[in-house]
Amino acid sequence: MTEIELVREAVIDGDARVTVAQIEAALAGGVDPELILREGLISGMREVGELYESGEYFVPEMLISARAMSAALVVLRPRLASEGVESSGKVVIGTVQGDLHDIGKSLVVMMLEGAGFDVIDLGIDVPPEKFVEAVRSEGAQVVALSALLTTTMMNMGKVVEALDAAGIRDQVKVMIGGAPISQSFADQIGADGYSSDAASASALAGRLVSALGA
Amino acid sequence: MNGRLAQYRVLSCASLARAVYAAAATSTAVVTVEVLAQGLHDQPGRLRSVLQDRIDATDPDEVDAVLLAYALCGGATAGLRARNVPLVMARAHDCITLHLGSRERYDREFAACPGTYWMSRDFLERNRRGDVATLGVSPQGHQDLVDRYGAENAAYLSEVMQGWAANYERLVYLEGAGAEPEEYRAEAHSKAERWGLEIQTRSSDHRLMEGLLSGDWGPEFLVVAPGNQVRLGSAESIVCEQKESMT
Repeated sequence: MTEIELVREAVIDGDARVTVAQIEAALAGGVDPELILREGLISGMREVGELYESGEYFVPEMLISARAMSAALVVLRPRLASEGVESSGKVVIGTVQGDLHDIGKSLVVMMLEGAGFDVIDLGIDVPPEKFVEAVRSEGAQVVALSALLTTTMMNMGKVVEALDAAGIRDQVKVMIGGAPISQSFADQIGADGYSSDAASASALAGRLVSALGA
Repeated sequence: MNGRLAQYRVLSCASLARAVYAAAATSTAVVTVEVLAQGLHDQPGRLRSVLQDRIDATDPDEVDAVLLAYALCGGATAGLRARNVPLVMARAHDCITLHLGSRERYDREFAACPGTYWMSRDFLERNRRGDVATLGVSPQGHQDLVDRYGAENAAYLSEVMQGWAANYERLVYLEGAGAEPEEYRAEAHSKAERWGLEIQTRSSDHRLMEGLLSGDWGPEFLVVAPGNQVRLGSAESIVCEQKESMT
């Protein structure tokens, strides 16, 4: 197995210590940091996403793999920066107003960071105006909204309305997710995308950033 | 059919069992109750299919309407189709509205403190799945996580699974109409203490449940005609009826 394949395997196994050790070994061996990111971490997380979709992996496996990837990024990120590797885009993310749940959102944050996005995490119970303010101050291309409750998912539409009222709706793409969310709900509130799970959220963010630039 | 009284079939979540039985006892209709396990809403698709199977199996010669002692329940009831008889449910997000008796009261409580863990006698005596979401892992405790994922990852997963309590503020124990056994109150107190939550109590109000089981279906209820479906509604309506051809 190559050094990159070992990184990939360690992420899929959800072993943070081994993932970090393999990355350090690969870097010491002169392997390109961007290659480690793309072929090791991102490819490994893609496999984790596929295992989740096929029902072989569940949320705990996703969490420990994402945690391994986060630990690896602490080591890898300075090297990527010094090599001048470009960010995949900037995402402002939060759980909407009234909703205090963040397991899903935190998982998506880790997935987005692993896929090379700069992520501004506004936390839980975030009012619409805070999203607007963050988009303005950070120049984000994507706003990602999370909700666990049907009670609070209606507040996602208020964020879309607030972006519209602030005159910046066409500068950003809005993606939504969470247990009660569906594509038809995304269509209903005028969101640009919906992701059914954390694994596919980073791919969706990538498509939305491309669509914005197009 | 006796030709005089309405005949209703109630499909109820176990979390509402006592409220349903109490309302059935005083209903003007003839009510048959089926209580289904708590926690099916963890898998909305499964809850939907369990309910739909029972709706489909209802004999229209025996039953005038199927009543759901459920709410939107994370979207689980959206998509249900009435078959041979009307399907009726309260316009509510979850069972807490049915415990509290009105949407306005629920909205006030939610606005005052979104971080509320609700607990009732039904929850304590019929619960078979542990206290909180367990990320799909069997709630066998920490050792089960260690066996599956190793000590370090188990510690992390436990921390994630218990993280909700840091964002919650209070545990509200819903007192039913009858005398509440002291051990249930004690259990609620002890859980609140363990999770670092303030303990409060509220009286249950079966008004909405009584309306549902007595055929008193005003604007607080959704009545779906045979062949039509329950759909997610607006923030105001919560659920609505979608007219569609039978599939």
